[in-house]
Amino acid sequence: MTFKYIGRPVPPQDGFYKVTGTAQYTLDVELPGMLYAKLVTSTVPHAKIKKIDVSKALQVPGVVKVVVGKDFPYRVGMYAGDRDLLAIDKVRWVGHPVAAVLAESLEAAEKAIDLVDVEYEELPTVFDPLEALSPDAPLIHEKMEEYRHSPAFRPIPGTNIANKFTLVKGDVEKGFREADVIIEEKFYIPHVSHCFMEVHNVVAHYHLDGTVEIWTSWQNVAPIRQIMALSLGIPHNKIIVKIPYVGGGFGGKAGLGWEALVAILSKEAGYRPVKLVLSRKEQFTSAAVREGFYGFAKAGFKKDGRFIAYDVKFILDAGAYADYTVNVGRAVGYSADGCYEIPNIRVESLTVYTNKIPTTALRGFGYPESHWVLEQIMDKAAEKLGIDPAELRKINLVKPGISETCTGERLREDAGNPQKVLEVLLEEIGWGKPSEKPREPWKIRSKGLALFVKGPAQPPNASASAILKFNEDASIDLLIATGNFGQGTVTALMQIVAEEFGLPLEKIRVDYIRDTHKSAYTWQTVGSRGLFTDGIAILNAIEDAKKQIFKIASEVLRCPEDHLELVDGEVRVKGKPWEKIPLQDIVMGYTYPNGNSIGGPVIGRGVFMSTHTTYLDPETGQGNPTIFHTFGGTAVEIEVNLLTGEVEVLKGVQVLDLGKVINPLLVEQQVNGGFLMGLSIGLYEQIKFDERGWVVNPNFTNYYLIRIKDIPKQIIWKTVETPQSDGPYGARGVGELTMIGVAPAIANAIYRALRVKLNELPMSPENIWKALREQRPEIVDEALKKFLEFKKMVEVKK
Amino acid sequence: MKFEGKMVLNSRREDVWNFISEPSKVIECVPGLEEYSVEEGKRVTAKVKVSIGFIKGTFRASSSVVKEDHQNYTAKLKLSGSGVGSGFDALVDLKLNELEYGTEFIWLADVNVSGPLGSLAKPMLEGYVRKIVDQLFDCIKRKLTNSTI
Amino acid sequence: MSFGSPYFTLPEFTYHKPKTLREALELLEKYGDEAKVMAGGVGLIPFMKERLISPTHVIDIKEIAELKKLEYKKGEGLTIGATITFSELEKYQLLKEKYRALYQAVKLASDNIIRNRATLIGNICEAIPWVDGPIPLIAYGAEVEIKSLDEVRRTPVADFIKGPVEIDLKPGEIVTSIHLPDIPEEAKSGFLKFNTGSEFALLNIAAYLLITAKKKDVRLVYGAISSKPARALEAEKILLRDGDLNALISMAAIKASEELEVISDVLASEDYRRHLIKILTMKLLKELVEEV
Repeated sequence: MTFKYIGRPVPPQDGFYKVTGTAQYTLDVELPGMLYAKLVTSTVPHAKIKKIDVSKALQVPGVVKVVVGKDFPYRVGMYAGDRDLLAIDKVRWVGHPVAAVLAESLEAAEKAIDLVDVEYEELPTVFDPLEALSPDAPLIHEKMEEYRHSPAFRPIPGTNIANKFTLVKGDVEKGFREADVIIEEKFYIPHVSHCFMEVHNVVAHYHLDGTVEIWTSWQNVAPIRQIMALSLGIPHNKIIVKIPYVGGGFGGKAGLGWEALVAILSKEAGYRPVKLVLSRKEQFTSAAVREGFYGFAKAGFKKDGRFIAYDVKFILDAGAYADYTVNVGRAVGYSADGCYEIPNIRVESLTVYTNKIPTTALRGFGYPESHWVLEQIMDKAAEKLGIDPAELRKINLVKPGISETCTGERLREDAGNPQKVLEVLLEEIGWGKPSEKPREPWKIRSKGLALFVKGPAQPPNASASAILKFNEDASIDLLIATGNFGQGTVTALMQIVAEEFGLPLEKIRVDYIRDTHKSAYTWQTVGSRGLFTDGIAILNAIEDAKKQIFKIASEVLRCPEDHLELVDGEVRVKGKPWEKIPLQDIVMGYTYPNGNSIGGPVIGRGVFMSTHTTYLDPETGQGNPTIFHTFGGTAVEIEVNLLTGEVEVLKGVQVLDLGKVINPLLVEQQVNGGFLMGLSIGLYEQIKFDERGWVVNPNFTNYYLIRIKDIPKQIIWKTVETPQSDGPYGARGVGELTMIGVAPAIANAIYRALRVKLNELPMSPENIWKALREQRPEIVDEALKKFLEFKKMVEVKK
Repeated sequence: MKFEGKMVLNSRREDVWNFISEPSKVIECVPGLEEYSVEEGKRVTAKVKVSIGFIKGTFRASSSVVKEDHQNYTAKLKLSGSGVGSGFDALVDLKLNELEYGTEFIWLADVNVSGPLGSLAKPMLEGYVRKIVDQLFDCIKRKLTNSTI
Repeated sequence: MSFGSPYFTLPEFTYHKPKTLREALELLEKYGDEAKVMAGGVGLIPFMKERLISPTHVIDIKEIAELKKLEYKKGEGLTIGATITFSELEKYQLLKEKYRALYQAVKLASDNIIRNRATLIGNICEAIPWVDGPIPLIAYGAEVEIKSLDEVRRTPVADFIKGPVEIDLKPGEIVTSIHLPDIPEEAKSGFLKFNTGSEFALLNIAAYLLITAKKKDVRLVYGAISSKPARALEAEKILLRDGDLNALISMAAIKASEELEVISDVLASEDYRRHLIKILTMKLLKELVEEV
């Protein structure tokens, strides 16, 4: 089948507005009478609040009010339900908001925050999640049993465990007894920030009639309404959430945000609109970041390479609040097996509270963590078994249609083709072909790879919907809620509509504002699900509209509906293209020459509903957690400087089984962006804490984010297209997938060449140098010798 | 960071004890003090301007008495505060020994600076903290000498 | 130095934009400690935004014509005025030919946008241990010229920077220019910086090398290793010896990695820094020696 729009590199529709500077963000929202909010945050990691003296702050000219937590003892949240709006009776981390100043100007608000005096009575602290598990560790949440949590999670009141996820399949002890080779390793990943360009910011207006209007820089409108309605007791239809353009999300703008707080502040300010904008520092210290992670893995293999037993324990350092991280803990648990069939597996994943910054989702949602562990286990096993790492993967890859995942889900036949992904990956990186020798003999080159698989981590009933309405000229307004924060999904969805109606793309409009009142519902724009779920909803809406159109046309053209077709914006009789009627004569109803009319304005509606997805069994983790699995792989060729520990990626390859590529340009942008984000987190990023739990690098001068000079010369991508019959044109999601494999592929490349283990992120120059020195000092000495003997330090440019 | 020091005062031990037991007297010796208030239980809150090179940051600090033992002339104070995006806390042990011609004043302070300031600039901070502590005790000494002569 | 700030606004201040140096000095005299001089503002504004300094008067010197000076005189050396930016220096051909270490430091400093605004003198006056500007200047033995209403004085850059955020500048004074002495044709100089995975340098190093039959003069200057830039005096002495230069270079590099005071901080550990001192010293010196 040939398509006009599907599969074409249509430039992203938001590009024009962003490049011309006309795109509107929440930051641009200024309302008459608006006040500015500024947070007073905790300077101690764990303490009772004894007294908050706001009298001096109130004396600053322009300050209207100072609000403290105990006046609003709400518990809010989506999954764990553990969050306060402002600290109520105690603070749980350095940066915990304890009060909010409302002022006529930002200057006044910023002056006043320094004048709020908070008296604390300090409590014992715990910063290490492993220590937090000890029975005599200080308890961070004393009333966990009162939290309204989702049924998918198991908090353990009386401990610091926010969620305990367990999974059991087969008999892992038996598996180890039968194993010929056993690998045991420990892994660590530090906290990292999303580093989106646009920081968290919200404008809220609590109206006198009880309606709350919200503008926010967030990924999704619906959860904000749901969280506010459930926790503040405001009826759903009185909460209107609007999201204009958003400067990046990466999971850090999903789940719980600041909206409920700012809404309350607006009410407290006498129903005046209020704006809260975090600074970059506050984003690093008072919002939420990706959790710290420990992985303890034991893996058993047969001599022939079969992976027969896997016992893993994950500990997530969730910080002071874990509302969303409990679901990361669940996802990291059930994705432990990656894309391999492992008959005997046991997983325990604990999401643990500590006195550090709260945590949340970040692109990949637990899968980068589980794959950092598993994909390195594969290479270490390959070495011990004497089997090539690619070959070992080939032996153990799941077979769609036959294999079960660790949750006991039998993969559908058209779930993807992981074998083919691996083959293409090996071909593109030139697996088996030695790298060119670097000019400087103290550098080495090596290739490494990692495979991965991911689907959306979602509740079993996550749904989506679309409304499609026609204007007089047969142009279309598509009302959808899927977020527009740089991924490009909306462009792909518009291509679907243009394709199906044979209309030019310019005739399709999706407003840039998402609005709970005006957009159709979608659960969330997370988990790389937007194209799949909203795409299906749109296809169903198109189908619905087409039915209405054909019904009218069949009367006008006096021809049965199934003899009609829609081509280039016209309804035609099949086989007689001259018997036709243009869409604009139908979509508002057809009017006969004498004025009689039939039909009426056409409105298409369509839904997507997850089917066959289930909750997972609380003890065994068995069930069907998701709606699709995208398989993929990353391979890299790197150069390591043995003297300094610097790593340069010479070539990166990403291969993904996307089912069907709707827009190759958008996929390429996701691949590039995901690769670089994976590289940045893999090599450099780390939020550093001191012994009192303070973030010591809450800014981009000391928290290093990848820069243009660090970008690899070559990143290429290929797709394998195994269409999934229930996806839009067979397509599956891509967004998050592109960063999962980068860090383990680099670690594997280093291990293959040097037999140096890098089980901790980041693989910074210093950390690599330390690992080299500790594990293979002779390599460093040899490199130094070559360096000293080297004659031509200055390269003559040709 | 641990600091310790001692000084000999010409005053009687009881006079020294009375002086340092009076929070408002001691707090007025803090260099860069901008304002302060004394609350119940000898808790003192203060705003202090601290100069580190050309940086002039304002710290809000509080101190409270953890232990006070008049019989043995020992006391323990806890100081904590925050400013320029960082925090600090300190435990200070004080002891007065009676000498033939006066009083020996011994102090031991364990100062912890948290946050970016502490980790970026620890080595330089040490010098500044020492300077502040020295100024504080010099002032105490001066005031005691003036009041008891 | 950036601690991160919750603030978006600046503390209140009065902005002055004098047209002459005399006018600027009078303002400084009048406001004393309450005033700060601003050229590019790249250092001052973030400091103010973070409430590390809150001057009530900011004196912008960008429009003072006599400070926009960039002039080389044979036998006397190079004068760089207070408002000369990194970008202007980068385009100055003589710098590339003669003061190569400074040229390389200027080129590697930060990014284009910052270099268009930042001045070399501002870079020195910040006295932040990780910056690039002071390192080659100390290697050349440069001096700063400081003026007040009643005095003109000169002091070596090495002494001017007293420690982190601490400089030898009194209220009422302004740094008007930097003077680099003229250097012999045979002298070589270079600069290296290690900042992979870091915005600031974990280590930067400048070398000045004059090794002829008649005269030997060597200076090795290191930054980002402790509270202020430092010379490796013992290592320099090794390079003054007679013998196989390659062997001397190795010895000097090892010596430098041992003799200097080096700290651990949020960017790097002491061990790693000492190791980098050894590697980068060897690399820089070998490159300079090879260069003919």
